[in-house]
Amino acid sequence: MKMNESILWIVVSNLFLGGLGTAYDQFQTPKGIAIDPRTGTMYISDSVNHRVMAYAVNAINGSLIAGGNGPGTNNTQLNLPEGLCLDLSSNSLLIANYASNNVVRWALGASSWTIVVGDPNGSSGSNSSLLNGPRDVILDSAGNIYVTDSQNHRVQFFRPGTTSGTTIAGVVGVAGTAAHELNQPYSVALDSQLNLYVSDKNNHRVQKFFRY
Amino acid sequence: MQWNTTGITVAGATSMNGNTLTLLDNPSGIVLDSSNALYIADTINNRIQKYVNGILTGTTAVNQTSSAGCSAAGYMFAPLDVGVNSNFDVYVVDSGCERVRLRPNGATSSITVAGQGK
Repeated sequence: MKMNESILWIVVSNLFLGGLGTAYDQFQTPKGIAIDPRTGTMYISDSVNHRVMAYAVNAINGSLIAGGNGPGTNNTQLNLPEGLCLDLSSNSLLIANYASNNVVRWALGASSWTIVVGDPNGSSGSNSSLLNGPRDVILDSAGNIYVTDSQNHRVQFFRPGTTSGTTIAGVVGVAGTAAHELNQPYSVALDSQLNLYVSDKNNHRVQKFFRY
Repeated sequence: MQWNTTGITVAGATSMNGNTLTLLDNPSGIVLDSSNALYIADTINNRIQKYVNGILTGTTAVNQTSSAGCSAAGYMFAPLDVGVNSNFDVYVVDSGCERVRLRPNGATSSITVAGQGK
């Protein structure tokens, strides 16, 4: 009777959270999505599985694209990956590693990452070359990189190939409500004029910063 | 390239979380479509909000059609990200239900496109 009850519990709990797990049709807290405009393939950061999965259109199972080797800082591992974007020019993904305080580039088909910005060894900081809890990363058509540096309450801008950024929104280390401040910025987007949009999560608003 | 460091609020109201069409509650992922419409994963409100033309009243692009929990196809819980394609189909990272959902342009319900969760 006890054995049957525990089996029943596993079956019942899977019916309600059938998607929770490590299999290739499961997630543990999916957090970010990037869509390949050429194919419709979805790249999804599967944060607590420390991996990125790719789902082709109509696929039941995903394929493992990045990570999946447990949380960590070596170059085959991710560490609570969150926001990600697809760089079509290099056929690679840029991934914000929230718990490793860096942004890494993982080429499609590769087995390891290269560092983009932040400390490859995972240390956090608040100067121009470090990050603290990055949650999102996007590119513009010139290859410039924008990162929501959440725990530093700022958005960092990096020219391609550089590791020292400039703050284009927010004030480092200041969680505030004013028009020039942010409080746990989460995600970032650009419109066709390259105006910057930031989801300012703890302030329950989305802010727009005009480019000039 | 430079940006004005004084921002304007294009969705929600500072420090006022709520569930009306002018408020947000812990907005997370955002994305713009090709018309510069703004989509927001309005996480605690379990919905995707859409804002256009600088108007501070949004519409709900992806709503809940069920309150029965993750086992129901029409439910979503704590969505943390949103995507949109060139056809204006909306992808929702339904984080709390361990799946990704698709709301096709013009449809009134969503389908699961990744993750087993029902």
